[in-house]
Amino acid sequence: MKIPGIKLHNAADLANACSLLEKYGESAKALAGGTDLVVDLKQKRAVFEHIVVLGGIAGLDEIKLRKGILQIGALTSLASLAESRIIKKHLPALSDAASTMATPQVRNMGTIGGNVAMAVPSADLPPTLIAANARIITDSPTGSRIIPIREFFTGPRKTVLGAAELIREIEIDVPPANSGLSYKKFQLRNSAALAVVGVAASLVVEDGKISDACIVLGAVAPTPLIAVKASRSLIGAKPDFEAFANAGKIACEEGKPISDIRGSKEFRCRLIGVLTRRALEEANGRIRTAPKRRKN
Amino acid sequence: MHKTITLNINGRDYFVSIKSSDTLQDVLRDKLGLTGTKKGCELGVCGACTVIIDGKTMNSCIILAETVQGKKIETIEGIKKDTDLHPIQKSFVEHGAIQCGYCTPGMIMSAKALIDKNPKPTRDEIKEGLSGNICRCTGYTKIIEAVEDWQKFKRSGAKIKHEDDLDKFQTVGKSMPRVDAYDKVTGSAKYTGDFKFPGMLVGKILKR
Ligand SMILES: Cc1cc2nc3c(=O)[nH]c(=O)nc-3n(C[C@H](O)[C@H](O)[C@H](O)COP(=O)(O)OP(=O)(O)OC[C@H]3O[C@@H](n4cnc5c(N)ncnc54)[C@H](O)[C@@H]3O)c2cc1C
Repeated sequence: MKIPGIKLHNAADLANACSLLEKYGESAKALAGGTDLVVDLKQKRAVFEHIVVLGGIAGLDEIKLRKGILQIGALTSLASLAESRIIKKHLPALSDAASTMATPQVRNMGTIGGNVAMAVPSADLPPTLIAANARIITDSPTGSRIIPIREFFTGPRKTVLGAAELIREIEIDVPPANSGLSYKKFQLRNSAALAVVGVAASLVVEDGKISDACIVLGAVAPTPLIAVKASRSLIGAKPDFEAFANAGKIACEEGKPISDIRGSKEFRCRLIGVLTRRALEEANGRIRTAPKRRKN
Repeated sequence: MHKTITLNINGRDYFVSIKSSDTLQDVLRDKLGLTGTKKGCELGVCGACTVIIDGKTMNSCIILAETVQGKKIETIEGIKKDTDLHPIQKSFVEHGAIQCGYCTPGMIMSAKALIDKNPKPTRDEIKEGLSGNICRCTGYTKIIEAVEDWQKFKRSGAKIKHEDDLDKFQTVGKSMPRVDAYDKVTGSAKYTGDFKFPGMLVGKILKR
């Protein structure tokens, strides 16, 4: 399995990477961990002549917590995400999602930036990032911008990123103590398996009632899908089994799964219901403080 | 177009002429003759080509060789000290954790990276640590037991049972390591795809 002729360009920094991408246009692509791109090049699913290597850029693989904001560099490996103390403490759903992915070897290579930019419908990180309202910070020859992740995905393997635009960092506000977030994935094996369905759910509870909820479905539509009706059904409800199961039922109807080798459409629909309920239950269990009483 | 790069493999610098499209697996096997790194799926799934780069296991089949210059690359050929097998290799031999042996080098590299970080892994941690290595003989139980038991072979010079008898045919009535075990845990066992002859023709089966 040989890759057709390519030329590698080592980017000194992100600005340099962007200008290399601009210079070589459609024949160029950025390489992070390579676990998607090299596989695609080998299978001739992607053909690029110029490969812009991001791996040597310093400082892009750090996870920081600054003023209540989690900042995750685009080159942070899936293994670091899975193991990071900061992420485990403040956004355990994201380290859970990372640890369900691929294999130890691929997690050591693959990056968060690559997973998000690749925009595969079954990708494991996007649902949780959407439920957590992440922001994608990018650089390009025309400057930097902040993209709310809800506006990022436009189709299977399609995003709003420009051809010479690269992700620098992903930012997430640390969720408040009266909230919880969870990711549940169904896979055919516990290793090296893509999601048949993945569901991320977040909950905010005030005065014993749900004041905000967001359910995001992965692998059941061309892009990660916010189950709007199911999420709305929870507002004002008590966070209990009944409310969660009901939301699951509604979510089943919102997904638009296809049948493929990993599962039939019908099977996926059933999974959405079960995983939604389980994700909500876990999210609820992660709420740390007693619900705050309003002063008046 | 060829270019010369330097790769640090098993503590030694190799100067090697490559194409930018060559994977680390291609370079190890075809240019340097280090065929202990096996070729399985070639797509980053099966783990047969596992190497350790700066302390982390990676699939050499989906790494472009040019991108790992300046890093410390460890392969199956580099983990024994002179003739003394690494304790993990000894444990694999002793436990009979080897059948066809094709996955063995990759398994051993994953196991080594695991115990380097976590010398006393639990069974679950071992399963997780080896979850990127597929064994199609499905001899997982003995592999897991071998990793669990590795500390027994930690003392340098620790011998596997009857190691000295191996070449002496004093084997009747004794439980012996497999005759090919040593070659299989060190990566020196040769499989069809590992042979190279001058002017060799390579056939390919085309499925329809
Ligand atoms: C065996 C195997 C199992 C896998 N299992 C899973 C799984 O369970 N779940 C899952 O979600 N994925 C899985 N994957 C896919 C892959 O590992 C992940 O998507 C990974 O996070 C990709 O990251 P990367 O750094 O390797 O991306 P690369 O391959 O380097 O790049 C992928 C794409 O993203 C672009 N890109 C990379 N970095 C940036 C950036 N900073 N800014 C803009 N664009 C960028 C590249 O140009 C390219 O188009 C698996 C892959 C393999 C080989």
